[in-house]
Amino acid sequence: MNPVDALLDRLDAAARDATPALLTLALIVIGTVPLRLPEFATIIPSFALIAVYFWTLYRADLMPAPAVFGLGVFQDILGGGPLGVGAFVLLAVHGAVLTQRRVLMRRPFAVGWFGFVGVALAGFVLNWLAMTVLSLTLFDPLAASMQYVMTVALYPPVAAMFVALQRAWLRGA
Amino acid sequence: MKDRPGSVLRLAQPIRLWVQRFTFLLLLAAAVGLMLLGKADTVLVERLRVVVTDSVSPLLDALSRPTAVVNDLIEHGRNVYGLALENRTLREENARLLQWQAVARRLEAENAALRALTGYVPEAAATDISARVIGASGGAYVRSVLVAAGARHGARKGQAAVAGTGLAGRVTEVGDRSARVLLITDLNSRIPVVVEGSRDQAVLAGDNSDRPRLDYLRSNARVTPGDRVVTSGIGGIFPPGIPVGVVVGAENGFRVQPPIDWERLEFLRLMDFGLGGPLRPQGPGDPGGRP
Repeated sequence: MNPVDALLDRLDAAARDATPALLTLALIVIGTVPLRLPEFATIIPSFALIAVYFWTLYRADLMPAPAVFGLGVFQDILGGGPLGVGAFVLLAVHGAVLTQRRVLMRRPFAVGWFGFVGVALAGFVLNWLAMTVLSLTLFDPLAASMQYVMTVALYPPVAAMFVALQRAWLRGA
Repeated sequence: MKDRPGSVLRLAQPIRLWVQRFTFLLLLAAAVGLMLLGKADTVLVERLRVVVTDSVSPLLDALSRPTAVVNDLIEHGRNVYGLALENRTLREENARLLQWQAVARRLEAENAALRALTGYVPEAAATDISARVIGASGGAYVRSVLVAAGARHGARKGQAAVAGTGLAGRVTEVGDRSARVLLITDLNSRIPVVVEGSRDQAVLAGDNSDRPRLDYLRSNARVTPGDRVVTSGIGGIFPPGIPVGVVVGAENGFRVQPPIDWERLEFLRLMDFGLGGPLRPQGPGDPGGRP
């Protein structure tokens, strides 16, 4: 193989490997765009949570902890919330999924979703606790609950998109 | 020879696992560190925020346009539907407003005459810029928006952000081409206001609901639902008289209903009244107080 081809090959590989993290970044940006739908503004789902769960579970090699941390900080900044909370929650989800990979991997899609229902609940509770402690205010859990339900409901379509991406574009683990 | 790679792997595997675990814990600690750093509200954190939002704002601006178009189309459809009825209401309103216009003209002339009589020092005229809303903080904990105007367009920290006819928020972070506006509904928003009829002063405190609370109202304040609430100008951030909303009753105390559709914020006017106020950076050569 000549050097140019080798370089192109490596660039191609790098682009493919970076796709999950970059896609998550894009989803966070899209989640920030004001949709101006009544009542939707406060219950926008957490795409980052879905993405970090999915990629940690099925392709942990492409969603390492530093990437999760970076995505979390990015989410915090764009959302205007206190810095570090999103990073902490996403890292906790990342860590929790890593310990449960053997239970959840290579199972039907529904099992993955079921796992997400539990992990996301823990993530949202953790987020609520962190916000409550940081701002010393008891937040109304209703808005967060709505957001949780939306996120869980959106998991199947978003995950299906990730599965298609994994088959068509990403290299084997 | 055959089991050498195996033995290396046997050795490398636990080490890699350890490194991974260590990295994970380090990052977790870093996240907690960031929370504390953010609590301390350092310049560094703000710089980081501004740089990141500034770099994403062109993308957000582009993305927010299609949704604006779609929303306009939906709105247009709705308008066509109720056109006849709305036309009638508007005609009636127009007639009423014309009467008010006459009253306002007369008052304006009277005001000018009285000011000339008393030698009144006029307030600095407001300069304002209009900015598109390009990002909303989707989430249960924060009420703020990003606008596509930054320092290069004249956005400054502490400016009042007005939507249509009512105060929407205050500019808290300014980048080169984007700025963040903390809405008056946010938990951290506190605006000194006055009830227009009775001149009772209060603090408008956001609590993440659509209707902020009226705090620190005197116990014998004569406030009734329906009264108009405007900024009081105390604190020097905002000038007095920006409309905020009308008082509505609540289970305990009063709340204010702003005339703003929070889900449909599309443009904000950032108004600079040249007040400086307590947010003005104070350097060694700065005499301090207000101009």
